Amino acid sequence: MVRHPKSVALLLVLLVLLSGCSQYRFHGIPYEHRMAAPAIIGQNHDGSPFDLAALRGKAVLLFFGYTSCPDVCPTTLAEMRVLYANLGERATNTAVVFVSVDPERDTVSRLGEYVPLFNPNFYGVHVSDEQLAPIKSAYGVVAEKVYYKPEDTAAGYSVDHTARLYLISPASQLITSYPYGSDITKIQKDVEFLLK
Amino acid sequence: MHVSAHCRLAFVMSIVVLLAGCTAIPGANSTQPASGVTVSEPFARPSPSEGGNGGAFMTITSRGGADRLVGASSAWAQTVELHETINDGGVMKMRPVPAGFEVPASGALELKPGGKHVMLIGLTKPMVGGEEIEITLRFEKSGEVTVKVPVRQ
Repeated sequence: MVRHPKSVALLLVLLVLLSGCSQYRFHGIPYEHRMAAPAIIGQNHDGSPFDLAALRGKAVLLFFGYTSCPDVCPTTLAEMRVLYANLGERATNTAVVFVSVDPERDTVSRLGEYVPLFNPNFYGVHVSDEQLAPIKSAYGVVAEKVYYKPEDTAAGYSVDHTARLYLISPASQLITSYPYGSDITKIQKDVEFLLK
Repeated sequence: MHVSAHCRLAFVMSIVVLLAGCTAIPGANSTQPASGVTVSEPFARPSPSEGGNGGAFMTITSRGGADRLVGASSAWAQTVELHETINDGGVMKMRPVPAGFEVPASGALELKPGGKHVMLIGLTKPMVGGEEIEITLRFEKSGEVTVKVPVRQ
């Protein structure tokens, strides 16, 4: 009889401890089943080879876009610039990766002019059209060229594209993805949690 | 005779100068033109490649009745158009809108990233953060309004 309240107390303590251990809720749309981040191999904006696997050990923020995109892509990169600065020392363990979905116009040299403008540490990755297709399907990225009527515009074509930002853990697992316009302070919290 | 001819010339010239001063206002004065529209918080995103594209964003309010933004031009680009990006179930789709955008009578036309914007096509100079570019907006009723647009990283 004396042991009973004790075991109840023990159980309570255990419950409290367990609830403390309950999983951190990532923002955006977290992957229910964690999976290894699909491979991305290409060329960085400085001409050096790029391999996503080489970023193991870092939190990776991955975005697919194109440099002729006037609004969504530079806005996301501008936000990444702020987030990266806000991470302070943790930024050294964080990688921001911009993969072009318009390899025709986004040559390595063009990416070299564009991406470092936001932060020289950011990766700007050129992947050939052929290699891009499996990467797009693996990440669920939709990016399609849309040719305009010449009488409507001088823009030639644009690329309709999903504008999600992907978070990859230091263990190279896809954790979550954020829709365009997500609050960067929440993204920062997620990155900081991964780097704890 | 000689003197009065000079006087007349001076008089005519001063009128010309005065008139020029008056007509110059709508185009030259950036954010508070004499016309019925006001442009606030203009900004552009950087785009460093010549021949590349850039976007400019701002809020336009009408002090009079409704107006319409029908076009734009800038020395920074070969062509300036009005485009709109639509978020279609997570897919961002950008389309030219040749008919332009309405500035409502008692409201604002908001040009923002991921929505309606001024699209600079074929940049003649790089757009770099910290710089300022000039864009002339063309309105159906208010005519031309030139705006100084800072490039923000």
